[in-house]
Amino acid sequence: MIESANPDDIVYVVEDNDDTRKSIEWTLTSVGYTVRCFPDAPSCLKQIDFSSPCCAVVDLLLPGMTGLSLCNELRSHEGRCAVVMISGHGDIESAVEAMKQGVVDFLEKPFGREKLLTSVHQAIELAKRHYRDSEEEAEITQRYATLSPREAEVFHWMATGLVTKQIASILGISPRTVDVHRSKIAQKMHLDSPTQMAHVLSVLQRQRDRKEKW
Amino acid sequence: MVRWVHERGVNQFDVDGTPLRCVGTVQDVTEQVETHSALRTGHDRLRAVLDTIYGFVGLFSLDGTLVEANEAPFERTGVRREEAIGRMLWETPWFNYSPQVQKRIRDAVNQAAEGGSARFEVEVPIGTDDFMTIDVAFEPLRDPRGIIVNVIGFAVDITQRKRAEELLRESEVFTRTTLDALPARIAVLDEHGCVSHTNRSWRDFPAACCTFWQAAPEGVNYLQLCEGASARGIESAARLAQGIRDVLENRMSEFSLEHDCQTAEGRQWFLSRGTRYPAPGPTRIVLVHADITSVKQAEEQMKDLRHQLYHAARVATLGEMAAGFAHELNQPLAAIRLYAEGCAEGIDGGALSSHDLQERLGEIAKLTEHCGQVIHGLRHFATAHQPRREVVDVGEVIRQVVQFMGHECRSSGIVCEVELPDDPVHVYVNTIQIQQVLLNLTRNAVESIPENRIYPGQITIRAWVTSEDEVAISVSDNGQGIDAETMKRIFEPFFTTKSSGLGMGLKISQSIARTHNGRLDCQSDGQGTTFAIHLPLWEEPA
Repeated sequence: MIESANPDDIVYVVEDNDDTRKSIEWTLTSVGYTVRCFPDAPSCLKQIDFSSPCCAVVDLLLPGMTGLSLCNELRSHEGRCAVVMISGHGDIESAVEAMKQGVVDFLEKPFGREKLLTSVHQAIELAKRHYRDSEEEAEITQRYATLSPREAEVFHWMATGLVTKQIASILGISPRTVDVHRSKIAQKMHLDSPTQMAHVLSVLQRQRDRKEKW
Repeated sequence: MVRWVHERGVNQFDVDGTPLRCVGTVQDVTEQVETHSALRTGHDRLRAVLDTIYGFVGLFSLDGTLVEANEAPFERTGVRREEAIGRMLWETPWFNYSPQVQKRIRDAVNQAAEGGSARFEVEVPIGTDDFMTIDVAFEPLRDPRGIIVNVIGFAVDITQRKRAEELLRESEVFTRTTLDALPARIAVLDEHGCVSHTNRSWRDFPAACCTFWQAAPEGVNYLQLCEGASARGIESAARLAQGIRDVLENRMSEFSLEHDCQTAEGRQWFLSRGTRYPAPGPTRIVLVHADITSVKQAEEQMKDLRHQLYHAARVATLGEMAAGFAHELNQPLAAIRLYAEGCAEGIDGGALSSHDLQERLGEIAKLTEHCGQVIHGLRHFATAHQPRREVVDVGEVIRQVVQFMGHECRSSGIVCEVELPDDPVHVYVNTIQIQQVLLNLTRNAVESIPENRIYPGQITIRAWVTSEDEVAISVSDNGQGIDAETMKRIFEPFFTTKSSGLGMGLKISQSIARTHNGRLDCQSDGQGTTFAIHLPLWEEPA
């Protein structure tokens, strides 16, 4: 049970029904979230701040722009805003569609306090993780960009798991030169341990995967 | 001076036969000749007179032989003189068509020959295929000494009269039979209100039925009967008495009134109509009581059926809108649950101020009230009984419809706008039925807007006062419109363009509009459709 939340965590509530919106606002505020409420999608999009991780509680049926369209719009900001979808009557079709859109949870009204708080908490955490990941990705990408072409080549073979001798033989240079490159790479990429190497590689891989996917 | 003489010569002879002399005598017979001539002239004249009259005259010998007859019977019947003269009358072509007739004629002639007389009607053939009716009489003809010498017969053609009589009788029988066959009770009252003529239904009317017209046979003063009943407080009798007096006293030529009464068979309805009797003389009145119970019952039944149909349509609509109602209820329920659980937790942890707690609980109470309203509206709408009409503001009627329809519009991404007059506009209607019409029109509007559209869908519900005694409520959409061919048929029962649905929606809507003395009309083009129900404004009773 979430007893208290960080006031830095912002939750956007997009719900056209006044009663429901107010009760959600009250519930989230009571545990410490900063809550911003909107009766429709466009006004939310106008005000939302994507610079920090956040969560949006979105009603499926909104006047004008539907919750699903809003969800799609929010998703295009690198997952910094995680969405919890709520609905008056959740038909399976829209629930499936919402999950495909990457919403954290799909709550059917009348949902309970705990369910709402848990979902919002999870969403915030997810958004934060996404945020951290994307920050890290940006940093690693930036570091990677500082490698010289030869260093990048050596890094590539390191990534495939080859040892210095093997790399030297492939590239036709002395193992010593390879070691010089390796220390340069370790310096530039902030690689202190083999574990860190694995992490950097996974981040780069993830980024590549995402680029292929999108 | 001419004289007539009779000359005669007689030769005288002796015993030998020798002529002796001739004795001539001249006798003056002038007187005799003149008398004879006068007789002849008289006879000819009589003949001429007899021949010119239309009646038939015949002279018979005592055995019944026709000695002479005037021309009329021959001319009229086509029987030739030689076929009849010198024959027994009953042997003539006039009567030989039937032995019974022959016997009757013979008996009559014999009776006259013996000094009696006979008169009767009998048929005589004309040509080959027609008959005439004659009134025939036979009398004895006596000489100056009183001895019967001949029988004389007279006859007159009474065919025309007979036919007229028959027609009259037939007409009377027809009228009487028809009147008696009628289930309506009919009586003629004279200028005092007394019953003078009645038909069978009137006479057979069970005395048990109505206290004021129980058994009113001919001769009874019906007006007094009604007035007596009226004095006992029977209101319909008073109206009937008034109607009868109005006609009898020439204030009106007719009256008509409906009334009911309780009988052993239940409640019975009557239509009573009085019409001035269109004949010279004192004013009389034809009074008709028709039993219209079955008509009334049929009307009641129709009304019941109509309401059942309306109700069935409403229930069907409700079923189709269940998701909308669920949504409408889910909103406050969601809020209530969050507040309730939040309060419970707040109390537990002591984090909630009593002020905040109080406010939340107040909110919960308010929300349950809202739930109650939704449920009330639902139940009200689904209810089978027929609530009376009431005076309502059209805005109020429309607001509830929008509440019912809100979800359906939202889930189709359609914006629903409402334009109401600034001031309340009152109508006297069956609110549920009008809401049913508006719901129906709004649902049609939602369905007419294509799902895969590239423009924003919009429905506008508008109410405005069109004239000093009418208000219109329109439902417009920007959907695909109705083509001319479909437009002609939209109010036909069981006509539908939808894949599901009975096709009764617009028919029922139109019928509801009409029972409210209003109308439902429709305009459509490529840009959308507008249905409008026009209703009379409620007028404050003066």
